[in-house]
Amino acid sequence: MCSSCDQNKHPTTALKTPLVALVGRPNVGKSTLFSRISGIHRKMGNWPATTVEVGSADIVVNGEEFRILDIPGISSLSPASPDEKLTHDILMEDDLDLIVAIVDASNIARCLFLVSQLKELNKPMVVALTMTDIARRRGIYVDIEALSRGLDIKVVAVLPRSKNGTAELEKILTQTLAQLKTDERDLKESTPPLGDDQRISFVSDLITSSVTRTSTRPTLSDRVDRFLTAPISGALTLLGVLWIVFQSTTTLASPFQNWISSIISGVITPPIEDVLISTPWLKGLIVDGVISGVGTLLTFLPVMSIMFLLLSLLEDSGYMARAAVVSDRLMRFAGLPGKALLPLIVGFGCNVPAVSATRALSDARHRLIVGLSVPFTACSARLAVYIFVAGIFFGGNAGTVVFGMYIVSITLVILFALFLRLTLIKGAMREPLLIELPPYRLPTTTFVFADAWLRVRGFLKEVGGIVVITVVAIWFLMAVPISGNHQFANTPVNESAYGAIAKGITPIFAPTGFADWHTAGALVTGFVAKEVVISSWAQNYSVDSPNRQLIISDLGKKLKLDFERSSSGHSSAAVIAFLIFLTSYTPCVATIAAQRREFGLKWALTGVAFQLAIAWLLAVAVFQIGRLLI
Amino acid sequence: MGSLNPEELLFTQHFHHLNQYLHYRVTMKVTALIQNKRAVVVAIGDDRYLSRLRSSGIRPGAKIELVARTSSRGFLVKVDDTRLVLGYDLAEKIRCDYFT
Repeated sequence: MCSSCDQNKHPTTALKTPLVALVGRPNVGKSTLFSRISGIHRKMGNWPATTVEVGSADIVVNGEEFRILDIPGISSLSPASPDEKLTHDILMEDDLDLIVAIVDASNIARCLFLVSQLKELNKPMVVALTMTDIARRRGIYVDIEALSRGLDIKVVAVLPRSKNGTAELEKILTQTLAQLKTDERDLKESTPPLGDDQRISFVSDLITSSVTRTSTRPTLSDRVDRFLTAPISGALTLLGVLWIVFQSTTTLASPFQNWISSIISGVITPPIEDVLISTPWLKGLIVDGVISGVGTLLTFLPVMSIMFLLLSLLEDSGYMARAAVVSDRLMRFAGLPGKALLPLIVGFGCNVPAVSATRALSDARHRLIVGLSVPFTACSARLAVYIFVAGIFFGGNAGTVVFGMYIVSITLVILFALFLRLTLIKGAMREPLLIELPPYRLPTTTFVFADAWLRVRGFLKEVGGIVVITVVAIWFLMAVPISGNHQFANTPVNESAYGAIAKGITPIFAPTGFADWHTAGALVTGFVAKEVVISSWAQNYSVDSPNRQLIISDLGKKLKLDFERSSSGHSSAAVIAFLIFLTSYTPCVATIAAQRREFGLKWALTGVAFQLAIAWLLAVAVFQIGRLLI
Repeated sequence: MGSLNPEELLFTQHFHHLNQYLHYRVTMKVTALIQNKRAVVVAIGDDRYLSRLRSSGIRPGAKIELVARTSSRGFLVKVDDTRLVLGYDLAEKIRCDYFT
């Protein structure tokens, strides 16, 4: 059905196909409805302000072609943050042909308040009434006919998660658009704007005439909320949930990882080796470079998939907003509003969208503080390295070490935000706590999987794109001889250009306990993307086979030896220092680019400088103190 | 209805202000609401937060109910059909009254 999708460009400049915008308060299900109508999956979550950019899709329904826009949620027509401003600007454009106002039936009063404002824009409008199932559970029943009469607008009940009513909505959209073509904007006389009191009474009358309620208090949600937001039980639940996520990610993924590595080493590699046997340089590039580097990373696909699946489950359930309430005190300590937790949680998946997600914050200083602190959130690429390293050095305790790294990451975010607020970015307003708790939902399998797939696809794209390019670049640098009497593509790694660069950087890491050129080189390439650290190790240790068993016993053995040597026998302290360095130093070039786009080059580079300095200082401190203790 | 003489007018005005004052005094802050007992928002004591609270549905006339106290000195309330967590500084600006 969809012929194109462009998520970031401003959509109204192309050919004049009718423009239809999905408009509504945050977290009413705009992106879900957009996905249902267009067939394109967008990032969704059961929390306000998941969408901060415009998504658009050209679709054809019943022979009628139109472009549908998924825009950030808006509370009123007075925008309070940059994402709301974007929506406001789109609504004010003349090109917009039809508004689909999304009204959440379980929160109908506030949605109708916005609808009454949208009516005053004098644009054709259709109302899509969502979440009627949740409303019914709360004892709220909406009379659609009466609502339609009261608003003088067509109203369609639609449950996009189960696809109920989407066909009818599409039918009404196409009918309205067809009518617009013939009637040349058949609008009634312009509606005069209402004053606040008039608007309140308009909405009250509308609710009296179209909504009936049966009392269902106190609901189960109330009791659950009481538990999840209480000081002690709430904090313990949050820690428990995070621990379960990381523990199950590491243990559940293991058999799948072994399976993938055996396929790569047993099924894929041998025939390629046989074919390339006559051209050693090409064999070196493909087998020792691409298959070794990318193959090692692909064994982390199950880790990523399980982690993303669990995060999607949490997001879809509505728990994240409760987590924001619990962590508000921590955020407040850093001078940030509780809402700032949401971009940071996004950061645990990937730092790049997390930087954009700061747009949902209304204070520019808060946006900057959160945007510069985001790189300290341990993204999923770093998770792969944690699991790899912790598996080699800590065996059975790997899950706990990984969990510990997340605690370190959260602490770093809070302390760095506090540091910024007290030094470089003074004057950020203290915002009072005001968080809306979305209703709990039973996560839908389709959406949880679709959401997890969206992120897994991002990981695969990265592996297939920037990681392959980096691996090839590293292979090239490794193939160029710098010392000794060697030929191109037939050079020992430590006498290649790569070896020379890595060795040049190694002394910097002398006080951190991991001053070994293999690790130094891997960390330099990790600047491109964190997963590359693993593939670089695999390449520069010249491990030929990506079989995981071999890596643990071969690459793992080599790594252990080198850490032991570089730390003079204090390898545990050196490994922890390494993991903390990895957590703190610049996540990837894509994050720097995102920061530059949001905050300018100066701030992006300031962030990088701080990250590098903090990473090095922490690694030195951890190793120097650690070697006295361990 | 005949017009009031100056004494009566003064008394009425005085009584009106007194009434308002008493009403304000007997209303309570969200921080003092009884759990699970529905009240009505009467006034918002600080203009700075008016628009923010209004866009969250908190306005005079809205039904409000305290569900629980949360961590961070917050107050979990139901306002009409929405669940909100308000910080102490906001919660004490909202004046409510129970149904009579």
